Amino acid sequence: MKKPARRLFRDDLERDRPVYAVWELTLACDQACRHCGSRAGSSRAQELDAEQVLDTAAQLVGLGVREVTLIGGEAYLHPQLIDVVRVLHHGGVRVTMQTGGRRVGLALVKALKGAGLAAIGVSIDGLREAHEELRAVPGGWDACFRTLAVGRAEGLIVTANTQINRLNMGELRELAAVLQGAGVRVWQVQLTVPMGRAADRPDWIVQPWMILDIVETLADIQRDAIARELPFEVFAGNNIGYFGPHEAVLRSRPGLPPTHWNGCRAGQQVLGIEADGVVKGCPSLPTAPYDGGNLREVSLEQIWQHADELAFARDRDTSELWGRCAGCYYAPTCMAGCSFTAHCTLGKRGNQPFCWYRADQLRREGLREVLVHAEDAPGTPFDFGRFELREEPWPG
Amino acid sequence: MSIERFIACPECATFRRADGSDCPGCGSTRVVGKVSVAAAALMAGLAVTGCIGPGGGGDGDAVALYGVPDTSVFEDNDGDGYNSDEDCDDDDPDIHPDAEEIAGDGVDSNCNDDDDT
Repeated sequence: MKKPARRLFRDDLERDRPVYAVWELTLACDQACRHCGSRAGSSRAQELDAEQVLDTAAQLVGLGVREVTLIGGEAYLHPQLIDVVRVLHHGGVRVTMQTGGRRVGLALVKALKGAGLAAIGVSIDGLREAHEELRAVPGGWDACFRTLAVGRAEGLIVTANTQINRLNMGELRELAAVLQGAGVRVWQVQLTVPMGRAADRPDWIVQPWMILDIVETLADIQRDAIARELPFEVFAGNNIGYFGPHEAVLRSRPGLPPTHWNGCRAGQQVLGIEADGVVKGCPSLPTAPYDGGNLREVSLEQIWQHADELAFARDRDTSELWGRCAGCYYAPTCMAGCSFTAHCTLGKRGNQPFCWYRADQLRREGLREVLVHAEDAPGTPFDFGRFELREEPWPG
Repeated sequence: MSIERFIACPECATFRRADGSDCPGCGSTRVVGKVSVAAAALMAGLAVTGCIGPGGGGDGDAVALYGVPDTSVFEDNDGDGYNSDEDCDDDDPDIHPDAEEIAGDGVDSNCNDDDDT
């Protein structure tokens, strides 16, 4: 019996099997976003060739992956995009695509839909001014909404994906209203992480205490949509939360009981593939510390089963935690939130300051945490610098 | 891997252990049961549908990652008018919440977890 592809069931959790994969088809991009974590723009030096791409698709089918999201760069700049969608779809895999939406026309959407694409997500990072400041390309905001309109007209589920940072954190309500008007069914929200080019702009990264207002605003938006019976779901990404009174409304799904963050799933039920064949436990993880092997040299199944770099979350315990996360009420389940966010911010996993519960506890103590930029990123895709974390009195 | 599940506090909606220990959000020690969990869900602004109670180690949760959010629940694979979040067999158009139940045939046709009604 077919179940929603990305729902995790007991069998998935007990066996650590890949349910969801995000595949960067190419790092080539027609935009050069100033906060891009992968520093996309040009192709990687050695991207998988045509035969290797189709073989990778076949391996994803063979491993029993239930949904694959194709990303870039821009996935639509890859010459085999339609073939990949078709192979995956025919193999029983649900296929979705995330795009910056700059050049997605009717012909492309028809071809994608015909090949079996189920949903298209468009990255929209604020109202026009903030979005275009981040994209570094004029006209990109309007193009996003044209993509949404074409996708809807052709019968795709359309979603939007927003990275929240200091340029757009004050306009979330207005942005939500625009997205509702554009027919967006699900709005995934997540924080901009200081990785890649975003690591070069520490002034754009939210401070940990700002998460209080951000989460409360997002929860208000969701409650308002529920009250008005709007088909609009705010979907908390992995690096936003955790565990406060707003957690259930931002993380629960239609038809299911209230739920909460259950820890990073990297290498347990998810994996990420980079365009040159590198496999990681999650597409967002920085490359160097989490490179589990390359598909040019070893099969996806072997990497999944044997690479330590993918297995870090399978058998760990709270001894990995440090800082405030080490003594947290939720520590054994949360395990310091999103691994890639913690690693790229503080240099290692185990301590995640972007947490509503933690910021609220600190506020009750009259304190707040601030990040101080300490080290630049080297300038390669999926790289990161380092921040230091300091506590200061809550003003006023 | 077993994951400890928390229950939404009926007093403040903060997730807490179900053992009657202090809620980390409001300090409440009220014992959490099905009715109070439903109350917490309503407090959080959620419609209470499906069964109410702790899941089994994350059972039923959706994977969230950078990329397209989970939308598979909005699909109707068998075209019977019910999306996969409410259709207990979304590959069979004869099985959905409004289907006629044939008692004793070994199939839960109307998705009520029972073959007899």
